[in-house]
Amino acid sequence: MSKSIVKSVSSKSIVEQAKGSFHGGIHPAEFKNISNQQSIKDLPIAAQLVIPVKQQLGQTGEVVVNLGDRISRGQLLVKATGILSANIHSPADGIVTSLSPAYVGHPSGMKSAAITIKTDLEQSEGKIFEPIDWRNPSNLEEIQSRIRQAGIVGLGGATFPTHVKTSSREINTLIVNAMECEPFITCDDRMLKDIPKQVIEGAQIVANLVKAKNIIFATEDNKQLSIEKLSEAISKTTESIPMSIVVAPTKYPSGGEKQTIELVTGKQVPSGKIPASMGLLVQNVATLHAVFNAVVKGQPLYQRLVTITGNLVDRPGNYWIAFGTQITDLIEHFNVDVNDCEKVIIGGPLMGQSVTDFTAPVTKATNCLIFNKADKTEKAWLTQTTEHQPCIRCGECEKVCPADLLPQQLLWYSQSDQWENLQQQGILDCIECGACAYVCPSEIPLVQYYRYGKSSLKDIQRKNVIAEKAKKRFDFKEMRIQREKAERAAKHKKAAEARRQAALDKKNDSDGKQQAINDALARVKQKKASVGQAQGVAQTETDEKKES
Amino acid sequence: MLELLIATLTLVGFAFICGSLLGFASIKFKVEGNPIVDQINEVLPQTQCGQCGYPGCKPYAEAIAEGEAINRCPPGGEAGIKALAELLDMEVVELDESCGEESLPTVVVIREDECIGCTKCIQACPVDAITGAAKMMHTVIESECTGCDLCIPPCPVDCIDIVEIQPTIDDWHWPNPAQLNKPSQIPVKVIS
Repeated sequence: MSKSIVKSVSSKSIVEQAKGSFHGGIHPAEFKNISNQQSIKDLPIAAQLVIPVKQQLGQTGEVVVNLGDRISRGQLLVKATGILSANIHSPADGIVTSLSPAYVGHPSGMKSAAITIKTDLEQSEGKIFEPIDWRNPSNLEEIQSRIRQAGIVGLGGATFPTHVKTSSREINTLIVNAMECEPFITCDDRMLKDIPKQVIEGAQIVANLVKAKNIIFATEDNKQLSIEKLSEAISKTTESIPMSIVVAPTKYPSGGEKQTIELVTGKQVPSGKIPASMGLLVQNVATLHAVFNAVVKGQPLYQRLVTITGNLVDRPGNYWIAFGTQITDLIEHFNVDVNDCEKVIIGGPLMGQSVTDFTAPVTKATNCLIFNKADKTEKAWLTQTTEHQPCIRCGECEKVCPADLLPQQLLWYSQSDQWENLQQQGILDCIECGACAYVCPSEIPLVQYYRYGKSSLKDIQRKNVIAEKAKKRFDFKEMRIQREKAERAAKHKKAAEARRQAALDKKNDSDGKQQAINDALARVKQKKASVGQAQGVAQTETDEKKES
Repeated sequence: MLELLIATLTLVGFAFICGSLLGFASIKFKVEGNPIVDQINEVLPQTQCGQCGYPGCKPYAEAIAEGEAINRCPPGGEAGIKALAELLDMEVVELDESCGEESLPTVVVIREDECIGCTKCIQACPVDAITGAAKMMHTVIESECTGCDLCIPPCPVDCIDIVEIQPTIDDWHWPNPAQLNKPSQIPVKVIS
């Protein structure tokens, strides 16, 4: 670890302005200082935890505990199946009391597989792994498998399994996404203020793993304090991979992966391509901290930093909350007046979703919970009529779309079920940021239309796959029947041929068999005749004796 | 006179070259089978249920190419008819009710303790989704079952049930906001 590099980095200013900018974007009220004033605290583990079996993008894992099992903190509960999957560990010591499906806060309102744990009063440390000396280059494989074992997924909200991203070895730059552009959410901001060293170490571990040559922390200019803390920590560090901070003007949604890249590098990631194709890896602050926990502390991902905010919360702030902690427990802990609280928003107010069933648990995807007073300021027609106002073609949505799409066109095609056109208009590039719906003067729930369109496209794709499979099997059966028929026919033909040949042989006696049989028969006849003669002679002799 | 001859010969020669080119192309690039049949077959849902009156999707596709009505496929439903109409540039028509009704996707399940192992359903299954042997219990491979229900009539002991496929969280479909009572709003917009 040469110190000269560090010195050269720290000698010039490590904070710079963002080079690029992205199309559109909005400036909603921030509401961030409700929760970013207090330092991070731990939340005591609740008496009961409901842990959804699927908490990440990709395949559902396999449950490896049984009903009634005594489990320890950090123990594996769900084992990943396949590449795009992640382990889930127990956040507490306790007993598995139920494996039946539970409400997990999914927008469908459907229940999903979950593990319910009754927790013990006394909790162990939960550090189940051996720490790894990540600076030793021979341990890279081990770090990669640790990231996988620890069940780390993207904690910015997308929950994409991290080990898939870190398996790339052609990365130039690791971008640490600390934009946190959505209103109310402050967990990444607070993490950089309180524990910047751990985040830096996590970033170094990942950068080292993917062989990145530099690390860029990307943040917005409304987080001055965390920028200060971070640059202070960077200037003090002795790590080898150079780090810098890029500050972008505050604008929503600069935290989107492709938007962040555009801000930092000034280049766009082409549609359908991943950042790794440009030599870039983007990781969220909290994800890197989880990597630090797994590699340095040996702690799997079983809790996360969650922003608890809103005007109904007693002590808003950022808390370490175990996965599976139900909203009901949080309501109790933060003295939320349930009468005033009709729904809770999980995630941010633009991209999150509201839940009305408060048994929903905190999962790997939950970065924020907003408990706000049921608002009385809604415009009357919004609640009275079921239909939104028609689109007036004002074009405001197009101006704010960060993905450079045409939101109006997407709306028309979604409304009229024209899925092919919808796809051609680039619906799959829509990041569902909600900027278009935010500016829409007709209050059209645009994102809901896009989600409807996207899931219709997914449905069609799934049906096509099923149809293709059925077609293959049908064709195969047809082929098999034909083949069997042909085989049978061939067999019959062969048998008939053989019979005919036999008959012919019999007639022609080509190999002399018939002749042999005839000869044998003749011999038998002859023998019989001669025996009869001899017997006749003997008979006459005895007769003669009797007479004499 | 000579000019006339030259012109005629040129044209005849030109026509001959073009003709032989076309003739060559028609042999060299000959298309096996009827390509439109394959295109129609792509659109059909491949349940192989025979509700259209043909023994499978491919035969129905062949029949459509010959001029059969496009509204005889209940599993394809309205969307299927739309897709066929678009492909063949025809009018969208309502589903022919005599063929059946559009229903939610289903699969069949064998009540295994009642199965006598007659193999009749195995022979009836168009996609080989039933496994078992003579005098042995049979069972349906649900992931392969297209819900065509062709195995039900041959079963001598009526031990096959039709089960609707329950949507799971993974294949859940976002609802159409136009049909929702209360489309959700963006909270931050309401607050500010």
